[in-house]
Amino acid sequence: MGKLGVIVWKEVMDLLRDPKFVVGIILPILIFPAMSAIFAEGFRGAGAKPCMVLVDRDGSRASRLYAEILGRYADTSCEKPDARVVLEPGFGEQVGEGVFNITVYYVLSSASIAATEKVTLVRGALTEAAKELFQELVGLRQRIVLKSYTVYRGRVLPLPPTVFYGIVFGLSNTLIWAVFMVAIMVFQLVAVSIASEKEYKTLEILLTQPVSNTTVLAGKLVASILIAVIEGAAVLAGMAFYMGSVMASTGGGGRSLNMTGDMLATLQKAGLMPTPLSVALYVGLIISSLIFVLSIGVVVGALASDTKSAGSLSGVFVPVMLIPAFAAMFIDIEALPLAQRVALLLIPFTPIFAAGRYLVTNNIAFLVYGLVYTLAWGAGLMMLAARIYTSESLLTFRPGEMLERLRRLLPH
Amino acid sequence: MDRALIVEGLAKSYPGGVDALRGISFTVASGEIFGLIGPNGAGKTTTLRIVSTLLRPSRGRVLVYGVDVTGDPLRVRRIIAYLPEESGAYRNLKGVEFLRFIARLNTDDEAEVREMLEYARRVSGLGDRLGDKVSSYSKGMTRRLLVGATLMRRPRLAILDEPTSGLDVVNASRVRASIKRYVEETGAAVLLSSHNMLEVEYLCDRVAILHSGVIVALGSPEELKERYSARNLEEVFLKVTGEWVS
Repeated sequence: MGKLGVIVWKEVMDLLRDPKFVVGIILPILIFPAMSAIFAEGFRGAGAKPCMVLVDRDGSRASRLYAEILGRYADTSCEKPDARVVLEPGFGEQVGEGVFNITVYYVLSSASIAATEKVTLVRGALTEAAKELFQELVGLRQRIVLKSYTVYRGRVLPLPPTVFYGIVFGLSNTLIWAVFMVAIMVFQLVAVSIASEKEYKTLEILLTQPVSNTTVLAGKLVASILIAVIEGAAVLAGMAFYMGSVMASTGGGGRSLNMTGDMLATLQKAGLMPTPLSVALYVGLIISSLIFVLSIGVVVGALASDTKSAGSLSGVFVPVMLIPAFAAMFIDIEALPLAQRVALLLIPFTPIFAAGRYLVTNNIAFLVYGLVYTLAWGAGLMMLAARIYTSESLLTFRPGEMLERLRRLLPH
Repeated sequence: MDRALIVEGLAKSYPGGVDALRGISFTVASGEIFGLIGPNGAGKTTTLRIVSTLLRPSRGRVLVYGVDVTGDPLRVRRIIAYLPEESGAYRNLKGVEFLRFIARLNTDDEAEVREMLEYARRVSGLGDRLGDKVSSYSKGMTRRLLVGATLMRRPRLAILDEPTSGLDVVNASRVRASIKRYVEETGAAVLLSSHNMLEVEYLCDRVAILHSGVIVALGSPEELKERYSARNLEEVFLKVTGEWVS
């Protein structure tokens, strides 16, 4: 084991035995299944036949027939209905004229997504029953053929826009979340790892060992990435389980578990698979962004006097990461007005979050921009971090004294 | 006799204009225990940190067995071992893991690692407690672990800042004996700082008294006592620093 390996081993052992980080790994594995169990309970029965009470005030042949047909699509003899359907007098005549006119009172058991799911089921049952009624009475056979295509960046894709958006949104958001979590963890781990050397007075002993400061720093960075990847994987595994359970409980069956596979197949069919070049650029962007985030962690850790202040300082950067992460999830940055687009793209975290979407859509120009911009920030900050991570700076830098000197310079 | 350490015209100014050292010079020979004593803020720790390659001098030079501490710090770190006054060990590691970590930073040879661990076990006297996490150690136990970790590296120059800080009488005496035995066995040099004048008198062959960044007296404890007509080193210290009230 080389010296770097020795330092990585120490860092990993030290961090993995820290209850905070152990909780960070175990908690998602426990919390997400618990959440999915609660979610499944909330959605219990959401996928079953809707329950309706039908009030026939018309008493015509058409209204009686509709009640009979509706009985095939809904449970009309239950005690707690999801909707009360009223067929007003004149219903039959209106049907003869090609008009379907009913009144529906939706009974919401709660103000939740599960309740709205019931509404969708009721509407579906009423519509299907109405179609059948028209076929029976009027002999009207409806056949609607609607072929949907998506035109994206001049390319015609053989899938409706909703499917296209769902695929891009689903895949890119998974990437955004994964990157966001790993970035936050890496950042905090490095900052805390450096600050803890000060807090527990181990810094001087470490920096007088026959190992260069660069090796010590590299060991901390590698160990932080390893732990962050483990924690990130735990969170993503928990999330995947949660989403799978949610989809299953809302009637999606096991479909969601194969969602990524299905998506990739559809993307491949539509000719939207990331090319080796875009994947290479994306990987490069991940590495340069990691360097950038690690460098901030080193600077924060060096400025902090203990782990508590490192944690507080780290917290400052979370909103700076959240803004581009949310922006990348919900809007197309390239569609923004110029000023807002530039403002957003100037945040060095933006490229890595936005790149999730542009990887899927093969936007090479954006990936190149992101790589160059993040690399410039990463290299600059890493140089600054290397200058700061010297025993001279770490032992003599007093942020409190510096602030006091600045305060004295200010006019009273 | 080899010159283990040569300090020439050493000065150090910190940002903000604090002059911690104003041009001090002294040498330490192999097999010698050299004591740096002085009031708080006299510049002792700054001197030790410069010799340990942690800080860069503003002026002057420091040679450890002929190697310049600023020119080739990594080579110097292979010769020295530094025990800071306020120091700790990684709380989430077991005592033995901490020792193994330090040992492996110093050698790639596993047989040497085992030898180092055995030596540290003897010096620290921690026995089976080395299998416990450092977070469960008392302050004294941590100090003993650190003394073991420092001497197990077999440094040719050991730099010890308050080596018995926080130790009870029995353990302090044990650590002093370990330092003395180490020098006798290996012929290494020790640069030591302490506020405990009895300890300095017992351990040190020569002593430098630092005051406001300047060496105001230098010699063996006996010479200093004779020069200042003092009964012990504490009296010398008080007379030299102008705090003596007869």
